[in-house]
Amino acid sequence: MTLLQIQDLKKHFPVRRSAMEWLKRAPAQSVHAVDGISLDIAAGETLGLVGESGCGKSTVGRSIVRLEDATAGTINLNGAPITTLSRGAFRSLRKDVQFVFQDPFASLNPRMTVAQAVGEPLLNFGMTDPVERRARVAELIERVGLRPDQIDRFPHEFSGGQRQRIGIARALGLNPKLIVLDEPVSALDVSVQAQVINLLIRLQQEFGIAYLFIAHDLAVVEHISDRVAVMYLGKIVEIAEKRSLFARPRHPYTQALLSAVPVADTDVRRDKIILKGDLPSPINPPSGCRFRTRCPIVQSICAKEEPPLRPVSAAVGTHSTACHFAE
Amino acid sequence: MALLEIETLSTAFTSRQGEVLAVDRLSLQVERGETLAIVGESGCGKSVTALSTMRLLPEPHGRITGGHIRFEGRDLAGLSEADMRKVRGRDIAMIFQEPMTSLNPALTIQRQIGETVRLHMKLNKSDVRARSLEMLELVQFPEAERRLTQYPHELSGGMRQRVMIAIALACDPKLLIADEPTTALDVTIQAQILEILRDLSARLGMATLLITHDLGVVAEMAARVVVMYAGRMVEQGAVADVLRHPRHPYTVGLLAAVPKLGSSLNEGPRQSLAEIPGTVPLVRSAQTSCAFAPRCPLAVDQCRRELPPAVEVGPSHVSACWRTKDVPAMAAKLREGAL
Amino acid sequence: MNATVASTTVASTTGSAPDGLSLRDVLRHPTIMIGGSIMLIMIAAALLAPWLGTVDPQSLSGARRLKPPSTDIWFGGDMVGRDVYSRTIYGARISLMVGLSVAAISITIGLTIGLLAGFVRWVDAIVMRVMDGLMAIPSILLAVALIALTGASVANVILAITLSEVPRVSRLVRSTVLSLKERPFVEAAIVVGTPFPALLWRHILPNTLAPLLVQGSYIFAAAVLTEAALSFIGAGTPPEVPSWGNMISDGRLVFQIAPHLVIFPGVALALTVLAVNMIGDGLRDVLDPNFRAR
Repeated sequence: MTLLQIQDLKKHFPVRRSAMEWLKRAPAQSVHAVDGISLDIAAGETLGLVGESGCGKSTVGRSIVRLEDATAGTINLNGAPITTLSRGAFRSLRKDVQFVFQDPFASLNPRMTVAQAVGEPLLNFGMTDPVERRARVAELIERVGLRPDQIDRFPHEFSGGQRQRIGIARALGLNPKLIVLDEPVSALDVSVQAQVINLLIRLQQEFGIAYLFIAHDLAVVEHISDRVAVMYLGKIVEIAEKRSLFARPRHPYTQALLSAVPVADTDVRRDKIILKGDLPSPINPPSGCRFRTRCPIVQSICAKEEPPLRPVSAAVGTHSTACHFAE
Repeated sequence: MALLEIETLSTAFTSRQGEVLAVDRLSLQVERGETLAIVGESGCGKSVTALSTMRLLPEPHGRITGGHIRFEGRDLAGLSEADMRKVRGRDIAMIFQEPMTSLNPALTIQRQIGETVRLHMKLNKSDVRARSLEMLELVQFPEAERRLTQYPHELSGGMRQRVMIAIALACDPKLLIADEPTTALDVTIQAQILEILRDLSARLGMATLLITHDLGVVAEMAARVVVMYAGRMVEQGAVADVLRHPRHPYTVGLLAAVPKLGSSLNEGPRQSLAEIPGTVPLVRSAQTSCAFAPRCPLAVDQCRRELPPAVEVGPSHVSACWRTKDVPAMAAKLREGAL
Repeated sequence: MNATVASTTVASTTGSAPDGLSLRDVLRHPTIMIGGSIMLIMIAAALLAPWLGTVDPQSLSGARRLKPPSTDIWFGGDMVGRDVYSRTIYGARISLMVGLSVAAISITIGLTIGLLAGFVRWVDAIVMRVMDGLMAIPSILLAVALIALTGASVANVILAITLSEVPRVSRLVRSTVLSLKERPFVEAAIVVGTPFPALLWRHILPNTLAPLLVQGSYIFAAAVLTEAALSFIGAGTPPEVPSWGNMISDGRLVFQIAPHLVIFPGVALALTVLAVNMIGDGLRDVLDPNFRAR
């Protein structure tokens, strides 16, 4: 059953013109952070969203919880149109979709105790009895692997991993159907990262929550996701069942991305595809295929025609890619 | 004689939490031309080791409290600041994680590279420019000629790191210390930078001390690796030996905690990642027992009482663990998910 | 819950306050300790003036005229025979009142304007340009002009100085709010459905108060000085009011023969400003994480 449906989502950020540009009447420009993406998330599944910095993956996540207002396109959660609802009407939907931030230090108010931080969503949605709220916070805190007697402490008394657990407890409080996880483990050390990933998987099995797992670490995404979408410069270039994607990536960008990951095994010597150059500017993205400026198999058609995201043949399950030359 | 020889180095910091011993009697050698990686989690002392070697500890909070750092036989720990300045850049160069903070935002690329060259090589103006260009081409900097006049903020992260490498290598150092050189970069850019570093150290015959938290980067870059935990070396050896046959429980845990690329291609259900319970301890004074014992599944009484010495477990492969004999069995169990 | 959240960092007296600060930490800070002690003495002197061996600061006595300090007349007498000691002590009342009032009023008004500007775009566009305009006029000129229009009185002096301080406070609050709005913990609060008033009360205000408190102490010091300066040039408190500025202004004419007329109020003024600035610096050190060693 489809829980979240994103259709042709666009988010453009206006670029501030300098006084000089304004005087010269330079045209107003915008950063095309997300430039028309569509995807679905089914109830209880994990969709991994990967890509390098600046590809727009975080903006997609932030648009789902209305931290950004979409420029165009629709997002439907259980049939409710998130993008067009008034702020007031959307507020009641917040129960269903929660968000976990990347930075476990900055995402907790330094002046609020765990009880206050984790209790805030409960209070916002009507649990006004302090005794009841405390009990629920204690329960949530225990669920994420902290001790209930720690709930009167302040964030600075916790380590990074523990703080991320607090952030997860806060997101769990309202029994959401979907949690958007924006690089939830990238700020953590590997040993702590494993703890948090295991916790997330356990919680999903327990509560049947769907995850949108946004990350740049491919191995982590592979570990946690059911399906994976790869973004490049505001577009989805490939989306597939995890096995199909990692077994046989079809898009040259996905192939390069996978081959670039250093693997902690000296026996596995893979041929690397080293891409030339940098990410082009999202203000003036290349015509046609956006990856063409760095693509090892670029042809003349790539500059003229934008390849649509289309299913590839001979794939297990669903597997779509946006390349003229993927078979 | 090794190029760099660190012997029982101890480095302490004074912080709000009081005195902290960041490095506790660490010994290691870097041979001429080789790449040695130091790997560990944040707070393990790997960066402090690098800063101690460069004598760049933040004054007055950090200081070397014991041991020797011998570079070509000369003890850097006792060198005057003036003499040390001659060593830095000329003999030993360093690149950092965040290239933006180590570049001066107000100076052009040419000025920044040129400054180092002028300072150490005493070239005239046109030679400086030629040398700068040469360096930028060495790090495969596209359109080097045009971009000499650009400022750091006009460059991408990968390009800035190239400039940093160009500056570092401008005077042909014998040792390059690279402190998490690709951590702030995206994977495709990381691949470019690692390729450049690999190529350069081979071509210039320069030794590299690579500081990283990423075992994958270690596997790709280094010949030997030192694993650090809580300021001490816990395991050391050839990269292939340490990664394939780790002999310290911490190394085993570290390897098992990281998800592997391609894990979904194995048959069977997804295995949960091995967790290392607890967190890294704060070390205040010279350790008298194994710092990893509280988190170690193999820990016995002896581990909590006595400091394990580094013992040879294979050809030039050492591990500082009382139970290193039992580690392979533990690793096997962990692989089966039984631990 | 709201009670603890709303209390400022300094006011929290519970064992472990936000940021790991307790009132004890704040009070133990050396500059706050010294500045605070001087301030306490000043406040006590102002409050207890009638019981500190003073006489009516307005009363004239021929016997005291231009008398140098002695065991009898501690700080000596001025040109018309008023007791300099009594006037200095009573002068503390004026200075402290002006300082405190200006700080309190300008913070209240500035906070309101700054919050509005931080959240409402059109208010930002209009009000902040007005504030920029006000800031372009030197504060002392602004005050002189206002006094000239409204007449000399303590209340008008307070009003005039406040007017020149409000833009500074509004700008500080506005920029703090704008940066707070982008902070992940505020976004996190929005995501969990926190209504706007609660967002303001729990997340924005408590984190704005710390820099405001520091700013407030500097405003206090500046106001004390401005009042003295205004009085000195005759555009401040009415001449008969015993304010330090008036006293220095009167005494400067006979400085050569009776320096004590300037020295005593001058020292009192300098001490007060120093004390307030010390408290401000100390608060900045303690409250601003950037100044605190990690």
